[in-house]
Amino acid sequence: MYKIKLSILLFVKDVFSPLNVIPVEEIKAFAIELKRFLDRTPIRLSLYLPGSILEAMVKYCPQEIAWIKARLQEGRLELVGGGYYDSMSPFFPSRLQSLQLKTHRQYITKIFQVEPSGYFNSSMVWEIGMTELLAHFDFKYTLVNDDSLQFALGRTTPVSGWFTTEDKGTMIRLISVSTGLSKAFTEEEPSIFEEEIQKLPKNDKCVVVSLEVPLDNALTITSFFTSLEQKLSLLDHQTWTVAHVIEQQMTEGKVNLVSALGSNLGLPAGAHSCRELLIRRPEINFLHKSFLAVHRYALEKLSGNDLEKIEEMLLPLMAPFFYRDLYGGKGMKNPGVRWKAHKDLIGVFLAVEELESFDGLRIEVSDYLLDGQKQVWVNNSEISMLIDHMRGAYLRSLNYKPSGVNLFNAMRDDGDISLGFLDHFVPNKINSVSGFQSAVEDRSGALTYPCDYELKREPEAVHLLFHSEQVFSSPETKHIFHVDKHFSLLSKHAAFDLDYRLTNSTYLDFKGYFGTELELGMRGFDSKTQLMKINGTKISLMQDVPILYPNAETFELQDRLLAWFIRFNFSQATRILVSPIMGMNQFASPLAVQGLRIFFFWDVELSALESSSLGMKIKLSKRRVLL
Amino acid sequence: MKSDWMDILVDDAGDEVVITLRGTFGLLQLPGVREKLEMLIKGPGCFFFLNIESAHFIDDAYLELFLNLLNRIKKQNAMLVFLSSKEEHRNYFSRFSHVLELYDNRKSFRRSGLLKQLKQVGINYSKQTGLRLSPGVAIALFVLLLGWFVTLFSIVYIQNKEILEQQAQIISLENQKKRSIQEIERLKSSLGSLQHLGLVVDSTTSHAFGSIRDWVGYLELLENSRREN
Repeated sequence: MYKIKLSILLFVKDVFSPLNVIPVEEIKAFAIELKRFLDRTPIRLSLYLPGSILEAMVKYCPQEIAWIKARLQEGRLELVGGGYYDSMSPFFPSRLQSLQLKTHRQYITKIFQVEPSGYFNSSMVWEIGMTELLAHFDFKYTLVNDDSLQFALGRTTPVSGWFTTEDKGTMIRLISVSTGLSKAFTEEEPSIFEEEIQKLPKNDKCVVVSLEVPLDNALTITSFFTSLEQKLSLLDHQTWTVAHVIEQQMTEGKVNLVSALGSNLGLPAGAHSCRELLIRRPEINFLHKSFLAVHRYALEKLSGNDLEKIEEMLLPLMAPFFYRDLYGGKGMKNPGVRWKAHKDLIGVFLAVEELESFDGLRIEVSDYLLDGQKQVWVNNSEISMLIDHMRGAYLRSLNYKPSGVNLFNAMRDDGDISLGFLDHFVPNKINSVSGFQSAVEDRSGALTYPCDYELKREPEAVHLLFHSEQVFSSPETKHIFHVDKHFSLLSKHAAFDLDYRLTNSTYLDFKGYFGTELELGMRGFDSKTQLMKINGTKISLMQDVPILYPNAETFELQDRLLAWFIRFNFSQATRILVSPIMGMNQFASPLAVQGLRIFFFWDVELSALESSSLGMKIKLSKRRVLL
Repeated sequence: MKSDWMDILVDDAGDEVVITLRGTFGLLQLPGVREKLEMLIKGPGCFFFLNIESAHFIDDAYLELFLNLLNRIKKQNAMLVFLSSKEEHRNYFSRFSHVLELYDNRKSFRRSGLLKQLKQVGINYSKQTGLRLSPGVAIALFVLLLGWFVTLFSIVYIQNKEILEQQAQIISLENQKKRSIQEIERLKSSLGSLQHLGLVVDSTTSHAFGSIRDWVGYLELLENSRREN
């Protein structure tokens, strides 16, 4: 039997629910199983529970909470602190991070009359910039995966024990968590566990493991604790709480430039920081920037209790499932998670507007996406949109506030961003549906040159004009077009007009197609709750078959479940290409519907210096009958 | 595009337009700022607020730009107000403090004088509607309208008072009627036992009062016959 000193940290993760349903039965089962496990065994444990799980336990399992409180006083249990919604610190402003830590700490103190001395986040993300914040809240230690420490120290041999790190005159202890042994505890195969045990250094140092208790259903919780007990029975173990490691062992030294990538974030092994999520997954990046924009806006317009109220509303939007590149209910690759994130964020934004008592039209030219360039953000009481005029004046978002949806919320597998009203020139050689589909999908003729912007204010409307010179190259020719793109927005309605004026600036005739593409974040098309009409006729859409419709005058799209309806009225007969955006799911086959691509296009024949005008009117409402 | 170093925010609420500038503004940014501000003030609005709280001006040329803007806005019969609570901006505007109005925020501007703001609104609406009123006529119209309202409210008040008095009278009469009925019932019941013994003859059941059921009805009958006569 292998002799080992062990510190086990058990944690649970917040469960994603589109309708904020609390998994009461699972939480009850967890509380009961934890109590049984500790009653059966003489083990000491550390425990991290996010605020929402703690709240549910206090509400539904008061006896178990009283029992945990007694074990905390005995020293058999240790509660570890963290963010109230288990957020990843490096992503967010310190002000909100402080509020996360403060709220969690205050809740633990209120219920259990203890103050946590350790900090933990289930994503296991660590950056040196967090030191000052954690030291401010009097945290003594945090947990970091041993492979990150190994990389920072340049060692190939296993790392254990604890290190110190300092930044801006503050210090915190980094306790090494054995990644291999943590993983082996969750493996069903006993040989893997035994293999990992053999790899451990032969000394009397305490090995720290962090284990997630899966809250999938009551059965998995029971089998988790049974399996843990079985594996522990294979060892001659002494168990301690994680805080005890610092008291029992001397420091292993100092390490400063350690950056823990985190686990279960959907990042490849080559990534060095959790911030790479913002680069690799544009949907996460856009949510993150929208979150920061709402917070900036609240800071600028509100103060005192109003600001506090908004910041509290923002806290759930820092939950890790909104910032993981994962499928299912675990990350932003799930359309439901994206929908929920934007719905909640729009809700917070509406609350800011209500507290500010502003009812008008707001236009902001600023670096909304924090990418070093300006974007134009337009907002009235019903809709808001972000126009990226430095890349062809396409829409990066279109939020319809009464329904709480961001319509341009699809996801592309190629890692490119999904957007609306991205203009394309398509050569006239193409004459098949698949040809149009691939030309649009490849974005080879997309017009993404920078535009100059102009704002014109009128009593009932605001006009945003974007002027640019756009280049369209085909193997034979190169054309330069002067493109005027004109958005007219009403001050208080969910409606706007989009007009184009194209001028062929080259001394060569042009014959081809001009069109604009939208990537809507639709659910998989379901004829019971969704509706598509072209010229008033219902169109049924097969799961993955694109359709091309000529001579359209109106195009309507409705989602009754999410309560939004959009109608396009064209100034002249328009061709419409509708095709689902298919993406991979966890089984690596492109079967998951990640959105709906719509391409409105027209035949364009322009001789040298000739101009042509095109346009459409767009209206939004919650229900079709209301428009 | 050096002008794009700056951030612009426009809050357009009809009569009030707040333009917020953020960034550092030197000579290089001047043409861009001029172009953007001139573009933004062209539209509707009665009060144009230029929020410069987060702006840092490193060249005096902007004062000239602001004076030009003020002239343009005055020509549109609107008003230009600068918003900032910073000492840096007070010093920057000190040369033209008698022309360029600088307030801490919109609240402090509102507290600065109602008449001035009303006058501005008046000028703006007269431009929009084409109606021009001299202050004397405006005051006379205002007094006339006020008089109308006061008279109207007095009439409504007096009539309301009369109705309330009449209602109170009706209620007291009804109460009196109920009390009388109760009193008569009580007297009847106290005489009941004597009537059974034949000691008292009920005069109300005699021929003269045969058709009368109760005393109150009788009194009403008398009153009606009196009125008819």
